[in-house]
Amino acid sequence: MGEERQVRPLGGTTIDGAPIAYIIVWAAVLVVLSFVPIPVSAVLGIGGTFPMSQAAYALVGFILGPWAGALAAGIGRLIGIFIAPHTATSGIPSVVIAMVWAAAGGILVEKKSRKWVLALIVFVLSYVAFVGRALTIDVDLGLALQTTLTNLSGLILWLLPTRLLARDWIADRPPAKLAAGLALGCWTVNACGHTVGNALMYYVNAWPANIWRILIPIIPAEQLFRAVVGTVIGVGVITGLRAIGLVKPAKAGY
Amino acid sequence: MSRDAIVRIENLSYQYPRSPGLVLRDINLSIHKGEFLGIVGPTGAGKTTLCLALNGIVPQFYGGRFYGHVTVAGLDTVETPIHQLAQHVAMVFQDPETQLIANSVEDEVAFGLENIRVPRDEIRRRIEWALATVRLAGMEEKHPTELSGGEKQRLAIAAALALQPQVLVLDEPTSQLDPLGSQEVFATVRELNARLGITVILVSHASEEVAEFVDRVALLSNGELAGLNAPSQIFAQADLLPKYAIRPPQVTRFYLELRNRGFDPPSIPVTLERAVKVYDHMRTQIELKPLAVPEIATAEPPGSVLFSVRDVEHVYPDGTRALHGVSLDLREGEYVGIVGQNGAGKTTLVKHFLHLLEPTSGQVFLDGQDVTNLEVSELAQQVGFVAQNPDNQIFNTSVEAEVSFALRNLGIGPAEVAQRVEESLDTMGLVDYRTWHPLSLSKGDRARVVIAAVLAMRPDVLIFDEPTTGQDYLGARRILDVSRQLHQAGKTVIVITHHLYLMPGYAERVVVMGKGIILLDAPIREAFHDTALLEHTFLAPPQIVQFAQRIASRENRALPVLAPEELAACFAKRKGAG
Repeated sequence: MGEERQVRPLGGTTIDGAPIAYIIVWAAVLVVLSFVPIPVSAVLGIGGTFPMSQAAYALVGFILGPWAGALAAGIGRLIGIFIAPHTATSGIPSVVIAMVWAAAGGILVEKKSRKWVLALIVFVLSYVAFVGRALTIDVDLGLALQTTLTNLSGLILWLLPTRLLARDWIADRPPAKLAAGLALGCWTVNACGHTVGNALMYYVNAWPANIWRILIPIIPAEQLFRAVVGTVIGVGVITGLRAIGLVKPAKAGY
Repeated sequence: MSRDAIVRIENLSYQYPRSPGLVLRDINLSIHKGEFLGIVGPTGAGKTTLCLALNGIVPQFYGGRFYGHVTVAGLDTVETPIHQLAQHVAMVFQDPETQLIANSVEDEVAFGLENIRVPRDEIRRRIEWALATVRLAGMEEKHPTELSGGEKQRLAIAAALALQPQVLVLDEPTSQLDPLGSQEVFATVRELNARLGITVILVSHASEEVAEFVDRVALLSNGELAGLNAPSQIFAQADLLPKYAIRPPQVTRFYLELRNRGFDPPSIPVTLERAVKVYDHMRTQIELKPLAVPEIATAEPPGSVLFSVRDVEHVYPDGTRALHGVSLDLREGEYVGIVGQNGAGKTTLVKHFLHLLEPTSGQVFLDGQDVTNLEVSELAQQVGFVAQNPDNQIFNTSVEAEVSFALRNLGIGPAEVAQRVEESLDTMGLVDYRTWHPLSLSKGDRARVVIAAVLAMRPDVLIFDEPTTGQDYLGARRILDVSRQLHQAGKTVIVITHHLYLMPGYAERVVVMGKGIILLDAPIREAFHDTALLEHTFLAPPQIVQFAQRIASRENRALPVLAPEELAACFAKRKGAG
């Protein structure tokens, strides 16, 4: 048998270890998902829906890693705003939010990296800004804490070893463990990403207390929806990718 | 022709990231500049992997463990980026859907040329030439998704031809083409090879064409190079089929059969022309016996009319008139082959049986009921349809889940589901793959998964649309054997195919279609020997039929045979001959 050769992708065809073709494909998938409106939204205050692509931002991070995932999510969301305006309630800020969500997904599955600490600081500061915003518009603290309970759950799950548990389950072979890892990972990442997004959105929109009250059941419901959709899509896609045997992005978590 | 090696493969072994072992083992091969090399071997032999190693996709895209060296035009395929290799090596993949990306036929051909900065006028010239070469002229503005499977394959070939690369790698480029289309591609590639000096490496199960056109044949088996020689040496091996699952050309099988019967042909030819010459040489030693061509046994006489097609026209939204007043009756218990060129309207016709399409005018009846009044879901329980591209029917994450999906959704009890799944998996030889993800199987195996899923439904009618595409000979036989068993059990079987040589022994009746009309509806023996009509619709009769007709014209008598063994049985040693 001949000498074993070192195998690596060549020619600048990858970004942060993910082939450009993968990034383009995922951006295209997110564009398609942008067409599907979900009429349950924390942006009810400005009247609208959120696109189903939100359910896949974390997944893109799990599959492509933080930077490539953020790029795919950003491109997909940007195009989605223009060709599916009926779901583009939040406009251009949603591009930034999509990139944060995907980056958080990539960071969650990264091994031997301290980026999660930096991300935690961003999430905590965003949470403080989110709740702090409530206090500046005469929403009392108790109501603000109830409304942001889902966001708080994300921060706690990110801080605890549950983040590592999600990472390890996503990397595991049995479909049941993969599904559990995706569900836990999607919930954690979506809740944290939602916190960053809301810090921005609620700063722009001074929604009154009655809106905050309405959102108490809506925010967990939409987070649950995102986690379920992300898990269903993720199990199908990741088992398929494993079966095809295509080269994995360097920072993929599966 | 220069004999410099343009491709050097030294001690190549390779293992995919998740494959249990090596898929290529210690391969050593030099391919000369301007050579036309054929690669043959059974499914799973490593043919596609070897092709992918030539343009760096293996290992750069797939990863895995790579041993040895492959150089193309002096470039090491592990050290040179794929986009640089692509300027020297063009590739046509087995599944054209994986490489068509543009919004129109002409954009598809132009894409590669634009990327290597070919001047605009030259791009236009090459588009025109490449599309004419593959018979797609006039379709420049069409979207690739509007093309039939065969047309897509021809478009992928045109895009590769237009690049006029140093090395052209074609992985089963004719598997979805009609026989004359396949002949044309082989002839075109041979012309490019001879005129422009392009080195051609071609993987194919089409033994007749490989034998006729290539300079050398590489025989792969279980990842190893089991043979490398001229076609006349490779295909004339008597143990080719039992040992390597390779189907020799039909004329070769005829002469091997003659030898088994005690005759002594001076050589074993592998091409039609050579076979005729050998026959002329043997004429003094052999004579034709009184003809006793067996008729095909039928399970039971055909029953009442099942499908009745009345003056059906179909016009697609883009204006393409696919069917022109087709009328046809199919009876219960029949085994019917529907044959015709790419785009003849075969798939369009059968989609009307399932209410997947509605006639623009005319009617289709099933058991006297207009199918447009029946739901697709109702029809699906009675009529099983195995589509041309298995990937359009697969969406579960395991073979077992795929086969059981429809049953579970019909509310059938778990015990019954388990029993039917077990039977179907066993019938299609998939028991060992039940937990595998369908996408981890070869395309041929994925087709078997879809057939298993349809069988599990136990429909009364089975429609197979090109079921043998991408299968090696034994795989194709296995599928057709299943169809025959079902037919003998009383089912009605309809098979759409280009592979006419596979039909004898299975179909009783053949419907020949061309350009949206039925040209002939006759028993198989009559249909296959109407060579002028078949050629009119770009179908070539099987090689043994052509050979039998050449002999018949010499002997001045009819020889309506369908298989090499039948023809061999027609001869006896001439009295007094050694």
